[in-house]
Amino acid sequence: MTDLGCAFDGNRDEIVIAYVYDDIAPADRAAFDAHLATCARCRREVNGLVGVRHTLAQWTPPEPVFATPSSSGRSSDERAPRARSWREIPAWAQVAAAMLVLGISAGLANVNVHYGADGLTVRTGWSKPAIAAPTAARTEDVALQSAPWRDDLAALERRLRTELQPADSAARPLLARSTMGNEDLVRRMQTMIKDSERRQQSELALRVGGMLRDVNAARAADLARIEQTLGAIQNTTGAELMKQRYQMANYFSQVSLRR
Amino acid sequence: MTWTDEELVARSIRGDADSFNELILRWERPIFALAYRQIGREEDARDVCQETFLRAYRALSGFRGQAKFSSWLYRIALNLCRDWIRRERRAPVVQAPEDIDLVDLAAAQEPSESIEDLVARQDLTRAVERAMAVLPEEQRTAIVLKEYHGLTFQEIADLVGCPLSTVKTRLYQGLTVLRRELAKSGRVESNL
Repeated sequence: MTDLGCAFDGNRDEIVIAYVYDDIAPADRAAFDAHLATCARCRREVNGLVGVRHTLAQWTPPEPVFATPSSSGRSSDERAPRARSWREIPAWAQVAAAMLVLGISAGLANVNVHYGADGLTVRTGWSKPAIAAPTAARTEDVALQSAPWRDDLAALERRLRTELQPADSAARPLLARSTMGNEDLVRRMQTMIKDSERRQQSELALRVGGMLRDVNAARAADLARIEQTLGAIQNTTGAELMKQRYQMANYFSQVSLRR
Repeated sequence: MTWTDEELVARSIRGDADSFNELILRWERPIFALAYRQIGREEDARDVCQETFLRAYRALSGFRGQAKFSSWLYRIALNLCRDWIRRERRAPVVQAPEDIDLVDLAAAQEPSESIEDLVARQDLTRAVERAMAVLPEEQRTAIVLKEYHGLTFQEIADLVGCPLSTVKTRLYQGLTVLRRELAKSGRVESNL
């Protein structure tokens, strides 16, 4: 089929297809190159057919699923890493990560927990002690001194002191003993507090130790389970492979014998 | 050590089943691809692929090595495809679904491929399959063997049993028809 308007001397269709597939003798190629330089119709056709080839190259058949394992096939397992999630991380690693985050957070925030007479106080590095408190207290004192009920309170105090005077003088030796006892009591309290702190530290150390032991045990168990599972998968895969190969070999043998 | 196809054939003839398994592993995908592009149905292409190896195994002792093992295998597969097409008495059209199944799409998605790219790829596949379905069988065979299996003109001629010039003519005519059909869906420039 020679195209109208094309003056190529020879079997144009065969030359065009050989040129498009680059399966052409060098002399033929040179001749056709020279022709293409002068023939717009052939140039358009060659470009069009090359474009078709480019489109065809993108047509891929579906991935076949064969009974026998394929060496070149992409298995679905190769996509598995994409589906990996947080849930697949062992429990010990999650606990360790949580503790690490908590520790770093506490360190950054400079958490200071204090339990005293004024109750439980939690303070972070960003919150500073209330330095404005004395100013507020002074303002409060001025307000208290100028309060209208201040005189009534003072009168009540005087009356109570008068009524309690005999009892006070009788109780003075006892109070002296009591002062001595208070110092002793403070020492004993301090000792008790120190003992309590020591006990709490020991308990905390024990708990942290226990937690670390639990984490290590869980980690060891997870590792053992992973190894066991991997071993089982390897065994199963190997066995399946061998089984399929032998089945196919037997199948072919049986068919051959029947023929 | 990697054996050649012919060496594996020789070992298979001597009774080494593993050698034939190796040949299957080596050639099952190209044969499936050839069958799929010829008949357009995945299930049937798989059946043709299995039947090809079965027939090859039966006829293994008759393989003299005049041609390459792959050419011999291609010939068996093409004969089976022709039988299938005649038996089915229908055009070997790839039956692409009209609607898009998102589950199938997701399964077919390459890891680095966006959903837009995936849909574009599916559209292109359908367009090419429709265009290929228009071709007469001999033109489609020539294009598939040349385009996707890299056979030379002479190898195709030997395989299908026709003169070299006929192969080139079939290729030219086939590509021209494909150009026209793909231009309808805007895949290539028309300019015919």
